[in-house]
Amino acid sequence: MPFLVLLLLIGGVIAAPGVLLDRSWKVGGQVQAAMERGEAPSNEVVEVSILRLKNARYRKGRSLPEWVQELDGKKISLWGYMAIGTLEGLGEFELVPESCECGKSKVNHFVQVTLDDDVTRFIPGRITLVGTFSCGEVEEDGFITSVYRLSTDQLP
Amino acid sequence: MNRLVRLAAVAALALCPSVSAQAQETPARQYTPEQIDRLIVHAQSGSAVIRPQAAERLARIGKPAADRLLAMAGTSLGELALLGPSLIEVLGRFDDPRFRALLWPAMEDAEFPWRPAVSRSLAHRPLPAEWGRLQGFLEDPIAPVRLATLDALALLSSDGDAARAVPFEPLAVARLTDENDVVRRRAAVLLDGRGHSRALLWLLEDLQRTDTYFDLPTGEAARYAAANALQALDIELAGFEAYLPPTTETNQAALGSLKERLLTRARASEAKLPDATRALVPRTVPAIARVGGPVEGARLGLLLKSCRRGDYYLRWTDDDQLIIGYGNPARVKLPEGTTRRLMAAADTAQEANPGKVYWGRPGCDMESFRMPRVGQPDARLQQLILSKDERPAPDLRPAALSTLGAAMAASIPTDDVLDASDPRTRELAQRVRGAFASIGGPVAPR
Repeated sequence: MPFLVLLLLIGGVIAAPGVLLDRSWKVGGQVQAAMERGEAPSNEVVEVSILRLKNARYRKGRSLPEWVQELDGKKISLWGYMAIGTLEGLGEFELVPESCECGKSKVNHFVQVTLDDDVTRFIPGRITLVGTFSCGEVEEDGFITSVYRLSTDQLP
Repeated sequence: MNRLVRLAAVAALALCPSVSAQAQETPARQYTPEQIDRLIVHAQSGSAVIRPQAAERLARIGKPAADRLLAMAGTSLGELALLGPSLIEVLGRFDDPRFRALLWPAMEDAEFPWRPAVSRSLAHRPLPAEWGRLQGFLEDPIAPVRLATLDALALLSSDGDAARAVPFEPLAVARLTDENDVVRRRAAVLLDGRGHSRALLWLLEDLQRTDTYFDLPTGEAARYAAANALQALDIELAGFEAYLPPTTETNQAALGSLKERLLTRARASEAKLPDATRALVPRTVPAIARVGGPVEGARLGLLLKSCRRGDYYLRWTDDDQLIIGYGNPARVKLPEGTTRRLMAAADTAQEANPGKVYWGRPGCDMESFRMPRVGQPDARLQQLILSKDERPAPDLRPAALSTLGAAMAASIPTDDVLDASDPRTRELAQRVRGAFASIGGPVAPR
């Protein structure tokens, strides 16, 4: 009996991070299924919901869900709103699911957009961008500054 | 089997404090005062994404950071406000009564700019003596304050004090008709944790939402939130996918299975409750929390987000209806010609400010006007935005937009016409005027 308890404890310690912190969340499948059906070859635009990205399971230092990783390097179409604090004349801005984010952002709640041939001007209202998506943590000075990024030529 | 593994994992973590201790931040003694000050600067003036991370790190440092923040917080609300929302949000985690003494006056001052952050700070580890004081904030005009208060009371009610555990449940049940869907969902989850699993049917309703506020997919956002909340309770979604419309064949099948699952859970949990509380949660989901029908012909919109006065989602339709809220919004018939008159005022506002779509500076207070573009009635609606930070900006709104705002406020029917039992319509005109005044300055009285 003591051996069984010990075994359970050891098993629990090993399983804890995976079981308690990284339960598999049933998200995604649409992109994968579409690709399997041959509907979205890699050189074509994949439509992605910013809400779905926001709700994808993210924990610092851990892998993003598979369906997000599969988008890395692909051309995607994404709607969203310019973060309300977007300044004019810059080469990048945050695309958010709602226009008011109250001065703070969770790192997985926005897409960092880089403009290759344009500078920012504030556009109120929903915009749709097409560009190359990349994902994964970018760290600066010990802080995670982005998880999702989109490189696009210009604003609509 | 999975349950057994989870049980073992929980037992292991509980019995091996050293395991969880390793996940803590580097010990405080390794941070120099300069490093702490640098983190404070990041938490106050870093980018929007860095501020909460820096504040979180300070909270983990403990006493040295607390001492520094206490010196900065001063003794007045003005000094406390200067810390900014990210730092204020973590003050309650230091378990220092001096911070609570600073936070409570801020919570009770309707003009304090960072009350959502204050409420979350106080809710982190509420004190039993604060029960009565907290309860009053369940009716606060700001949804995040109501949410944090609900969490605080839930924490207090689960501390083993049976005498207090009883009154929490009716308080949570009352929040099931909150005008804000986030608050309703939290109330449902908290009630499930106390054996009232019938409340999870509120989340099932949210999974079926497809509503929008113009181009803002409020229904889709609710589906994700409800799905996440159910999964956090280890409830299998039977294949439901939040990103797909609820009407797809797979989601319809999933919703059917899920309904059965939730009803079984509700019956099982209720069987264990005392007779007196078994029927506490209503048998049917109230209208405010149900799936709403489509909103047709919305031509004008006013979205007010005030950190002091709350949020308002208003739409005026072609057939002169005022649509209040989202989800299953309240609908009020207006006198004929109201929307047409407001659209004329909207045209004037655009013509007075050609090409200009944004006024103010970044911040949490926002007025958003949606209207047809002048001369392009079929094009996508034009959106004009004002925003401001915590500082007053009484002259922020241009005159023509103030005229439009005044006309919009004046079109809201008087209280005797509106349903006083609906939190969305109760004293609506007065509350909308209050929100206007707190953002871009007052609009003319009726």
